[in-house]
Amino acid sequence: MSCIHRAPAGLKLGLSLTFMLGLAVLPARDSLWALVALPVLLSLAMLARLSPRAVLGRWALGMPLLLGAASLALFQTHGGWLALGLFAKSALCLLSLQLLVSTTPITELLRALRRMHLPQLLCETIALLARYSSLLSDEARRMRRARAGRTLTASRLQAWWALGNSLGLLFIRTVSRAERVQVAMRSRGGV
Amino acid sequence: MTLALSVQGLSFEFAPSIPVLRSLSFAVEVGQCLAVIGPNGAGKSTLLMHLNGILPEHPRAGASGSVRVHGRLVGPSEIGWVRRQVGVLFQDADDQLFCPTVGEDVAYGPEQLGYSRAEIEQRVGRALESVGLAGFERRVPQRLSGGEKKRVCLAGLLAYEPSILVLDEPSAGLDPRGRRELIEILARLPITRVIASHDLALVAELCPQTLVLDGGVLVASGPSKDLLRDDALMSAHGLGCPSRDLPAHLLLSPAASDGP
Amino acid sequence: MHIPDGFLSARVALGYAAVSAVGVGAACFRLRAQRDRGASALLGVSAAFVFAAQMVNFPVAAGTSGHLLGSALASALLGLPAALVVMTAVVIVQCLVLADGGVFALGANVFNIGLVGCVVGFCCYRLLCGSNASATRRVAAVGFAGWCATVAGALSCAGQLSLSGAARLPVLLPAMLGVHALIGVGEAVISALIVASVLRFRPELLENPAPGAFGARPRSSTVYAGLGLSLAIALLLAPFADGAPDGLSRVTQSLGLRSIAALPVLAPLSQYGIPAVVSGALATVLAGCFGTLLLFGACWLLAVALVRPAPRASEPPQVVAETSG
Repeated sequence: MSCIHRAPAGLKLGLSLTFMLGLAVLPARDSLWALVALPVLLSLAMLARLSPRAVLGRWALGMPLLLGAASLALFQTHGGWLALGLFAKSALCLLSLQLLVSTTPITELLRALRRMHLPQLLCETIALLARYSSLLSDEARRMRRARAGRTLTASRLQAWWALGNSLGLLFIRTVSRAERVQVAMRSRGGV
Repeated sequence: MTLALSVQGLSFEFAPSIPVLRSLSFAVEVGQCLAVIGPNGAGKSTLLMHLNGILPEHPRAGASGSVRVHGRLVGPSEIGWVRRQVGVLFQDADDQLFCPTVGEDVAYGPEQLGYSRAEIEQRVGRALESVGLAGFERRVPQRLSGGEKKRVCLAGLLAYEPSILVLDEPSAGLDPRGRRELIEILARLPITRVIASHDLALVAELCPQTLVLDGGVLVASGPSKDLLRDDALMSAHGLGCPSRDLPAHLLLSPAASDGP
Repeated sequence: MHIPDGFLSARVALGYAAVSAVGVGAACFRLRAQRDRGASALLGVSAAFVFAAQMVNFPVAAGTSGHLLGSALASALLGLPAALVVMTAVVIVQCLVLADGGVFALGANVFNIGLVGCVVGFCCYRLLCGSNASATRRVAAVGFAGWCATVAGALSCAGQLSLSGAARLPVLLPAMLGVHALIGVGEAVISALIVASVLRFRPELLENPAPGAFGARPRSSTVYAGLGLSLAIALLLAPFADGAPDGLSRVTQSLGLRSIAALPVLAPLSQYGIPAVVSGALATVLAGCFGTLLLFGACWLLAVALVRPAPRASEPPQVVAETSG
């Protein structure tokens, strides 16, 4: 656990947002100056003892989308420089966000968000989402495999039908589970 | 001996003309461990949910009879007190482990009761230790084994020290080691326990007294080993043949096991 | 449709964040009045459902796959305020766990996917269902609502990018609208399939939006029509507005509130290269209307194909759902 991991979530979130705000107010023609932040971000990644391959790999995975979005800027005067600047800025922002996400678990971020006065109901929803999403994904996968085991044709139509059905059933199970979680909450929470 | 639980003439139906419980009456003494067995659909889970007031959800025509906890009637005005006294461990551990970390989940009960932060942390630590999971506060429920999840759920109940523990199929879905660990923990607890289970070996090991439920009706009650040895009774109510399936030493009554 | 960081200007990002905060805050406030302890369970687990459902691959062609977005589906299944909270939670978690979509752009993304998606989806669904709708009608309504929500969100997204100066509207509109009109078809089909499936097993879940009483009291269609129409106007015209009307602009300048003028407002079209843009836009809008009608017809046919005759009477409510005995 590096010092970056241990740093308060609110501080990391605040720094990331400030960094992105700074990039956002940087005039378009000076965008490329933002690249001075790159060595800073990379050294933060090193300080956090993240595997370079993982960091760069994840970063690279996000590039195509950024390239595509930035290319929309090409069709205007000075489009080329504008697109390049946008790409540079967004790439840095992506790296910064990925660093934040890999060094801060959602539960800590949630506490920071709560302190920032995010509504209590929304925070509880996010906490339950974080808790149950992997469970529901597993359930969805199991249902899909069970159905695939009985699917004898290979048509795409069949696949869509089966997937839609699985998700419909998953929602029904979701409602049942929500009822049971509600009962469990009431049992330990008094009335 | 004072009565921890007293159920009189309890009837319940989910919808008119679909009765689930029919006029049940029984009592549980303080410190006793009672088992409730019966085939699927017998009404065991429904009965258990009456013991801490989850059911009936609102006063309805189909419910009658009474449930008393330490002499006090379970009703809308007493609900908070009843929930504090009766802790229910549900069948699916994932339904009860709804907080992001183990520590927060175990703290959920005490937090509702308004203890101080320091007191809560102490209770969480003690509860986790008593189920053999000391130091698990920061773990996430997704990565725990089935047995560990069940034990965390149990810790979540022990943290606010109810006087009666109600367990719905505690050993369901556990591997042999998880099952053994849970049985050992339950055996050590001094408080009143009511256990609904298909696991007849667990029943024979933990519970001196048993109720047999079938179709919402109480068909038999008495010493567990006598009931389990009664082949006619067991097979008549879809419970298989424990005298053949269970290890012999589990079904020996205390007097007989002393040896000639 | 998640906008990454780095493309939105500070004014746009902060402005939309403020609007989203108000919208989500209002939804939470509305729900708080209705809920009891433990009722957040339905919201949270539904959010987990949407999150999990979004990861399911629906094979399209040659390595591409379609995915559910879920705004319209959530609105149909849970009602508007609950759907808004659910989708907001999903967008936030996608950003803070998967780094999908920007954190500075979070307000804008919540606006597009949550506010626009859910409101448009809900209005379309309710308008088309009326009161006492048949299963076929509900399935068709959800499908069409899903398409509308996707396209509306894309429109809003294009508006935000254009306001930030990232690209020009004549490039953005065809690109984003075109792509998302196609993606919307996938959304329509997936949403329709899911609702058809739910209707087959637990039809009561769609009669009164899910137990836990987040149900919307039925309101008159005129309210929804009005809501939907004004939203549509705001979305369509906002990117064309280069600033506030003269009067408002003078006031905001004198009050030093220039940045607020960047927010999309209902405004007369500005003098910035209007003729070409307007005629082009009109043509797009007309084409859009025809396409929309065609699509609605397709949704109806799909619904007819998907909905089987209703099963026998449902069983008693399942509090003790899957436990034994």
